[in-house]
Amino acid sequence: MIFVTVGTYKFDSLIIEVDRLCKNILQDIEVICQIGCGDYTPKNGSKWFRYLPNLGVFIDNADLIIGHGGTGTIISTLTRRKPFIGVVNHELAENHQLDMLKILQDMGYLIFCHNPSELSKKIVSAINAEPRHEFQSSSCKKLTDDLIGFIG
Amino acid sequence: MSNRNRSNRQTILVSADGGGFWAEMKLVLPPLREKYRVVYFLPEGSSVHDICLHPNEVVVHLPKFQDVDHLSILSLFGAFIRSIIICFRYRPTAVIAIGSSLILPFSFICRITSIKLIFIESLTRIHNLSRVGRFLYRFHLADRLYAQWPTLLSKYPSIRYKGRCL
Repeated sequence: MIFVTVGTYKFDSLIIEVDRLCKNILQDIEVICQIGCGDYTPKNGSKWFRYLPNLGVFIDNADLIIGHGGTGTIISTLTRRKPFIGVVNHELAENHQLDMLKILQDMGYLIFCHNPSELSKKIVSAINAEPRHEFQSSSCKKLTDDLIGFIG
Repeated sequence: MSNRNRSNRQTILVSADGGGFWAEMKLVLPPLREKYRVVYFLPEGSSVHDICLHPNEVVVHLPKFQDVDHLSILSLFGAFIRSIIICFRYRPTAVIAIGSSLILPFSFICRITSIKLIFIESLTRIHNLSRVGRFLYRFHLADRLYAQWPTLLSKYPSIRYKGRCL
């Protein structure tokens, strides 16, 4: 299953592209979309909803997650060690999110997609991807040790 | 009365504000929750998601003083008064936030008491501090200001870098 999530706002161009792909390369794959307050609703067979309080179940059950560059989505996906394609939402134009997606791609955590039109290419490379750099729950130990040392 | 402060555990105030910021905070929290009693602070109208509160943990609210671009001075003042009441009531050792501007009202009370103000810049900030981060840095309002990327060190030399939450 592929889970597509746009976060609290909307990301119509992503949903439109995913919906288009549902007619060709994603034809035989189950796709579930969280579309936020988007104006476009999927028409080619994928299931969709606007918001749910907890998306964890969908991420747990997905083989691939496609989402915007929000930190919340990135963290819930990477901590579950799922492959993730982060698509920049230019409607929000928050450059620092773009920077983060790029750097996390360079580190091997995720696949960065600059524009929904590149999505099919990215899905193919996500499927054939090498083992990714995996999230370690101990990675923030240096930070928390330093915090505890300082708080006392 | 203060005997009620039994377990010699110290209390820390932790911001549970914002979807992404909170996601980052949840990665940092586990060792802190083991060592300290945590009081979560949030904007009015929101609640703590995705974690089960320990029996001794509490949630407090502050007036929401900032929307995307709009700052309400009146609510900021309200938040500032509330922050003093919260600190008086819970006697925290430290106030910690990741990314969230909700820490701002605490900066005053932390300056005049021994409460430590700790701000961790969000994971998304690679080349520039956020507005809150810049403000705290500029006026030396934080006892510790962490960045999650070493790229920020050249621009802001007194910032601290100890890795990132991910």
